[in-house]
Amino acid sequence: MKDSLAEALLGQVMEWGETDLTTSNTLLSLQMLASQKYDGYERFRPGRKFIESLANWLRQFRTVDERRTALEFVQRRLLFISNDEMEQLVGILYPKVIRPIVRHYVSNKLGVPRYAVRRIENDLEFARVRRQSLFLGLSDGARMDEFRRSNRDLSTEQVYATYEVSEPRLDEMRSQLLKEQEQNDGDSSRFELVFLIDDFAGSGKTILREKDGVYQGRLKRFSDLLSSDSSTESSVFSGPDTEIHICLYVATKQAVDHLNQAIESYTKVAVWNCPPQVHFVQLLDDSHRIEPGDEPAFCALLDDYYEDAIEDEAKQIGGSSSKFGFAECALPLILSHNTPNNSVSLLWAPSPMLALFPRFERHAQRKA
Amino acid sequence: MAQNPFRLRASEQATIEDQFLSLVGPDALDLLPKDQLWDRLVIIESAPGAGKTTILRLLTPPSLRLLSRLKDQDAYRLLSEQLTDLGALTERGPAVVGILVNCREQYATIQDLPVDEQVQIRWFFGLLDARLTLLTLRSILALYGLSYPRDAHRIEFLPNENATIVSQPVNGAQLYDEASKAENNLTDSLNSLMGVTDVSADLSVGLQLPRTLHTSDILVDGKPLQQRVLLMFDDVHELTLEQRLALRRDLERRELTVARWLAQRSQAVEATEPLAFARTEGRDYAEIQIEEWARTTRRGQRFYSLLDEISNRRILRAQVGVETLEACLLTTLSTDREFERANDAKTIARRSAVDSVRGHQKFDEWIQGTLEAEATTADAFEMAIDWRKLSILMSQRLGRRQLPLDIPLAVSEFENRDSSSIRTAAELFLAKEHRLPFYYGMKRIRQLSSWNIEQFLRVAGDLFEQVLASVTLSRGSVSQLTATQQDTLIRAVSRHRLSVLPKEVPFGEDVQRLVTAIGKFCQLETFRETAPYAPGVTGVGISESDVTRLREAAQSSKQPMLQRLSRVLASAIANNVLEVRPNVNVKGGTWTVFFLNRLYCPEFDLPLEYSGYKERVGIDRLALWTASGFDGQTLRLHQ
Amino acid sequence: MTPDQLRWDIHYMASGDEVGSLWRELKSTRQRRILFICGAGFDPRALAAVSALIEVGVDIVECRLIEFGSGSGLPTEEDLSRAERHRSHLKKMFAENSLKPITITTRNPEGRSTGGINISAEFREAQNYVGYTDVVVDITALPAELYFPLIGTLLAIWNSSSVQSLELGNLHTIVCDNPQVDSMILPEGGDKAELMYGFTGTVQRASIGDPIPIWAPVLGENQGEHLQKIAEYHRPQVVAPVLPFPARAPRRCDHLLLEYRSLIFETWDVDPSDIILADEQNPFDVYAKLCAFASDYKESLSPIGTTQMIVSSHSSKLHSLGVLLAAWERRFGVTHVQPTGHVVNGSFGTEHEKGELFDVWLAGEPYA
Repeated sequence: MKDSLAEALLGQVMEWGETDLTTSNTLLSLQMLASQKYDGYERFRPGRKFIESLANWLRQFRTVDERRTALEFVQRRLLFISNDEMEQLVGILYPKVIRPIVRHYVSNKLGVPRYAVRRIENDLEFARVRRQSLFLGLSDGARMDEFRRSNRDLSTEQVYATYEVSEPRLDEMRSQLLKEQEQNDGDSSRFELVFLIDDFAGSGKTILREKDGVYQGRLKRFSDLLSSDSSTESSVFSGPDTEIHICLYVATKQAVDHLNQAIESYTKVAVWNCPPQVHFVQLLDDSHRIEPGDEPAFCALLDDYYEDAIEDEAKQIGGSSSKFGFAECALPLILSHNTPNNSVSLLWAPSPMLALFPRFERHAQRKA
Repeated sequence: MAQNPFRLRASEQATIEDQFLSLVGPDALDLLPKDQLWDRLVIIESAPGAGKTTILRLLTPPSLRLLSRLKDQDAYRLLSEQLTDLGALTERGPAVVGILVNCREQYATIQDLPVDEQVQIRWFFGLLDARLTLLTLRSILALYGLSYPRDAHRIEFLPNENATIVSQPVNGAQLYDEASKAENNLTDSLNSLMGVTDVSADLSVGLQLPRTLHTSDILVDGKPLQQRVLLMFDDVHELTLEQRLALRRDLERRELTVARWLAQRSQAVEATEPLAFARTEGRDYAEIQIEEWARTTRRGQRFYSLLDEISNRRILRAQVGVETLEACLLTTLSTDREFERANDAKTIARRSAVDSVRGHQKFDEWIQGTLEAEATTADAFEMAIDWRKLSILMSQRLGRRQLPLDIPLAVSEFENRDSSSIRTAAELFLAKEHRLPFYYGMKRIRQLSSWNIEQFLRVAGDLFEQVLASVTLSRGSVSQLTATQQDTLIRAVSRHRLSVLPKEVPFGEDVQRLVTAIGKFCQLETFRETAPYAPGVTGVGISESDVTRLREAAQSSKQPMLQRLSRVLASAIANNVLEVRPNVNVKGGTWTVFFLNRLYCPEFDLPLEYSGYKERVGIDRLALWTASGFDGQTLRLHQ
Repeated sequence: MTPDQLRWDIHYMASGDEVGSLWRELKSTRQRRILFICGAGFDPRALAAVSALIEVGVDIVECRLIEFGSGSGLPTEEDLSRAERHRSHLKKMFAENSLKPITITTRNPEGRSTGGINISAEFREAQNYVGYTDVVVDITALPAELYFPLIGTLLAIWNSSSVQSLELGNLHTIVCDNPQVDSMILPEGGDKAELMYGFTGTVQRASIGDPIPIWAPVLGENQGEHLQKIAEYHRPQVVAPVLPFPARAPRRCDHLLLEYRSLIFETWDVDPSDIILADEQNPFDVYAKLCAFASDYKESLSPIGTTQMIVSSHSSKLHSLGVLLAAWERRFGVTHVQPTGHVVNGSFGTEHEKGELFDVWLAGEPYA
């Protein structure tokens, strides 16, 4: 649809008759954010863009007042992380988070102060440790390709899109590492640092959760891999001494708290010696949560327009209905490649109305 | 929504020449005195945004070359004709090579260096001379479409008959090397965080370049340069007082044959000369004050035509099927709500007019006449104005000390008093009393410009933005903005401009307080029932002795309140918040009047005419307002 | 160093609690002799850094207190009394002969900015820094027109070949970051854009043919008028706004885009690909992004002319430091509008006296 038609449609849906400062300003603001950010949402079907989606979404509310509430919510609270912003997070993960971790690790080994950064980085030990660090994506959203490309210091042999590494692949990693480190007079052929990278954690439960004493999640699966690896003779990792770092481009405070706590209790039964650490680039604190106390009008819409039909198995893991999003994260968040299910349902749920930002469901795909 | 052409870079910022030329209207050139441009020093003054830089840029080679190429196109014909008339353009091409040098702060900083005054002034002339030399080379090369600095060697300065001492021809490349070396040395030293090194040894007091131009013929590729050289110094107010005076002295030398223009802000205002309105008379130079030119009644209309032309040019660029701003604005009431309010206003105005003079037969005929008029007209708004006007006139009569006997006044006497200013006052009163729109229509929007193009473009841009929004929402058809829409928007803009004053101008909080106080004071004076200064009061005046006191207070800390006021007035004037009219003669005295910039008037429901001001306000009162806001006192005692 | 190599590619910075532990570590390695330089302004955070160092127990041998009369602006009673309180606190903290007030006039009687010239002259003597293990500049309570030339001068001294024979210690800058306080202090007025003393780059040199001005304003709130003044001053052909992301408040980017929508997309006609994102909490990210941007443009435009990079900072002191480092290293022109004073929006309480400390280490041991 042509932009101007979509805007006219929006005006009609909102029943803007005579223009005033507010309408022209609203229109210009939406138009700008649409072209700068929202139109880049990858789940919009071809040709459809934000203003059109917004108009069609708003139209589904019964009264103009409800539409105003919804529009005002979008303007005031919606948090959209664009592709450019995501790229920035990917780009600074290494210099901001990972490089200092590697330096710190080396400074301890060398016994030099950690602020002696040039000395550390010029030391051969730094190059060795950096090469003996492994970077694994926890999901498709981890953008591991982009991560590798933005860091020329890293070798292709140490960056992988998935944490579920097959045995033949593990063997290959090891032999490659062995070959390179021998050339460099290295004395070890095992990975000492592992960085598990993901784009987003809303509740943290996909990474690690516990039910009735049973642990599940991606970290658990990696821990299984680690323990099976350390039982083989030609192990790729450094066994229980392997340092694990979970790096998230975007994380809620809720997720970080949950993970720290879950890791602490899991560490009692896990293989590693020191508990994995959680790092993030962009933190979303609790102020982003959509609370009925702060947003009574919009939360009333959530109540009115919510349907249980969107419940599925995965959401049950969250432990509640998904009206306020998976695990009641109550987020107003959209990521340019998909909307997390931790966001409030009205923004993304496919029923009972058309979503503002339609979500791509991984689970549904898998079932089909 | 289409792009708003009013938001594009303002003309002073436009970098691509043809865009720049299409954004400026040719009328602006009318202000240049044709017969005085080339043989003496010309000083051009204006408030920021009035377009002086635009005019100077017109005379630089890139603009003139472009114009000479496009002179037969409709959009440029008038402009080229005017430039031809001024002697800047001929059939064959540019007749002038304009060299534009900006005098911004790098020069003023020289005077803060820890070196003695003589060295400072040498540095100043040294740097300015180096830049002028480089810019002269650059401009000449640009005129010939050659590359700077690569082709500098193709220029030659050959001593002519004016040369008093025997000298050798100088090559452009050599000149470039020397001047760029001097420029680099001086600026490096000037900005070195490791301290200045004295590089002033071979610098002299005064500019060398104008003399060189006077005593040489310029050859390009061996052929004499045909064009007249014009040196243009922009933003001269940025120089220090000493530098300005030295430069003026240097350029006023009559023996110089090179044309030279200085452009600066009106009243170069500084802490030490906050109200230096006095002008030297019997001068050897031509002076152009753009605002003065603009508001001179004879030309006021032409300034407004210029505004129209500029806005219409911009509107064409939006390509939304509308050609003028005026076409987008309704000039009468149109909505049901507006009519309803006008009707209510009429009823109430009639009732209060009739009630207020109950028992005075004196006004019977007036009332009767108005009633008759009402019976034959359907325009409720016009009638409301008539009734309101009547009330004002009757109060004026009743307010006189000596009421003549109760003999009815003739209708003709009423009609005599039917001046447009009372009518405007009545409209203003109604607007305030009944929330009817007042600030709408092209005339008032032009008035809001306060003779400033930039300011006009901002307001016009805000209005046009809403036009664009409504075009979008109505899927392409252009609907006009109603009077109320215009009025609401203009009041909002006015309020906004006032609220951001603290951020925008030096001593902004004080300026805001003073302007608000003046606004409130004017409001009290304007809305008195007798409308004594119809259509209203929009300025305050101080006496000559107050000006003197203020000037003295500015220079010492003995009277901190007045010192503060002088600083605040200086900032307000320099930034076009207050418009100053020195030497206004009225009531047997001479006053300096400070008018509110028109854009602040709507916030206080004031009219946009400059007619009314209140003299005898006194600087002590203004100082008090500056410090603690308006005190609510009117000046009844001085009436 | 090759042109593309960054002086501070490897850098050290401590933030939050790390600052205290850094100084404890420094203290443990050897006896410290510290020269502390700070401003005597009205900023409520003025004492946060010095108090933190004293708490660690390092020896501040001398404290140079920069008194800067706002020249012509009139500070409020409250500002004056707070500044006075800071002064008397400092007097209590230091023995009389170790507290040295230095008065810098920021405007001359004609209203011109003179702070830069004066402060640079005052701190220019290299000999004055000999005998200290650390020189710490706390810029929290200093205005940009003072700390830019001050730090620029110190960097020039540390970098100068003529003082190589002198034993110069570490050079730190400290800033107490508190966005809430930043948002309460609104700069007043300022009538013109000017080049920062010592940071003029090659701007305005008439000897350069066809210069292409490129301007990167680092955006912060409420600066529309200053931005316009700077744009009018330089008439840039390319405008590259720098926005904070990641940021404490991730919507800040959107808010800034909305606030400056008309300027960015209409008046300046910014190409969306020229918008630069930089980590709000890391001056070295701003620095790296500005340097990279300038190099890219310089290279790609070299066939048609010489680029002239101009930067201006309208954001936090932390971001400004990044601007400063980039401008100092690459000779960018720095432009600013010096306000005549400040308006405090609201009133300060004890919660405003603190914030997150950042120690940005500029020269010395990390770089050895």
